[in-house]
Amino acid sequence: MITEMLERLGQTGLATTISENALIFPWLEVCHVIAITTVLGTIFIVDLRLLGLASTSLRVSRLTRVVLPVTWIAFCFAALTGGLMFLSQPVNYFNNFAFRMKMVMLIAAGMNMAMFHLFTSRSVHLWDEGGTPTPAAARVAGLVSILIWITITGAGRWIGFSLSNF
Amino acid sequence: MNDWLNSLIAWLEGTALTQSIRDTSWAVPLIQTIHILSIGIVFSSSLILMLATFGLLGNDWSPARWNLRLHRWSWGGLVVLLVSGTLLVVGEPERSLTNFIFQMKMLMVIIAALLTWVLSQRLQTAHGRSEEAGHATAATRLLALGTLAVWLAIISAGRWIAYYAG
Repeated sequence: MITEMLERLGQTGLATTISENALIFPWLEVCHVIAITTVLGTIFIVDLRLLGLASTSLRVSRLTRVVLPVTWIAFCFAALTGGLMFLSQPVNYFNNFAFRMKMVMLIAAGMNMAMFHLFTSRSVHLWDEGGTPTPAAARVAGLVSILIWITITGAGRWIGFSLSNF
Repeated sequence: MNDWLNSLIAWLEGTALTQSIRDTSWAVPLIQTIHILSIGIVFSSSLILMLATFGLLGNDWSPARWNLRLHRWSWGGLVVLLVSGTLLVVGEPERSLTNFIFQMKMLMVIIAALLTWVLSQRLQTAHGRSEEAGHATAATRLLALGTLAVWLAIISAGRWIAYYAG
């Protein structure tokens, strides 16, 4: 049933336009790379602060307030361009191992972030100030986030090498 | 120029490194992943600096302070970019070196590196003078915006190398 739905999705006007036009897909890739590099770089800035390795003189709450909006805008842009690329051949992407791996890691990244915001960051007022060591839970969240985003990047690149074009 | 380039390509094709990159199926995706991760660091640093010079990152840190936080990462990222990029060229010398978009990309990388250095120097000087540390001049903003634009063009060119033969 999922395959049928995906097949129908791949036959929509938008999907065929993307797969048949020689310029749209490369430009979607360009936009996707720009979006994902922004997500990576900005999230690493926050993760390194959580690990206590950089920006330590800036309060955690201030850093997240100024940097994470940039991350979120870029993430939405990455999801949009990624979704459009998926549309060009939905069945092939869905059956691709690297693609599934990437989606699972994205969910893991979301869960790691949700855990941090729901539990760990509640006590941020206690370790917000520069020079105060961050708690173990915050450091773990930062490290896990860095590792997950490296895996997402690798899986994303692997899709390009393992996806059959037909 | 072409004779010189062709003999370089012929020499590279015969090296053991080119052969081992070709014979290892995971080498290119792995090097590309490292390449994208380092673009993430370099590009996001440029983006954050641009936002800071335009006063869009709050007033906790001056643009000069952001530069102090990011400039080592920019240069470190650039080194990793060059090393991983060189390995990608060595893996496929003919496909890359004779490609017009690749040649343009290299020219832009030199421009981006120069602009990054000039911007960093300007902000470092500003950091010394406390009265100018709080906000950036119009020239500094323009420089930060220009640097970011060149990086955007570099990322676009990088993706288009794969689609453009000639």
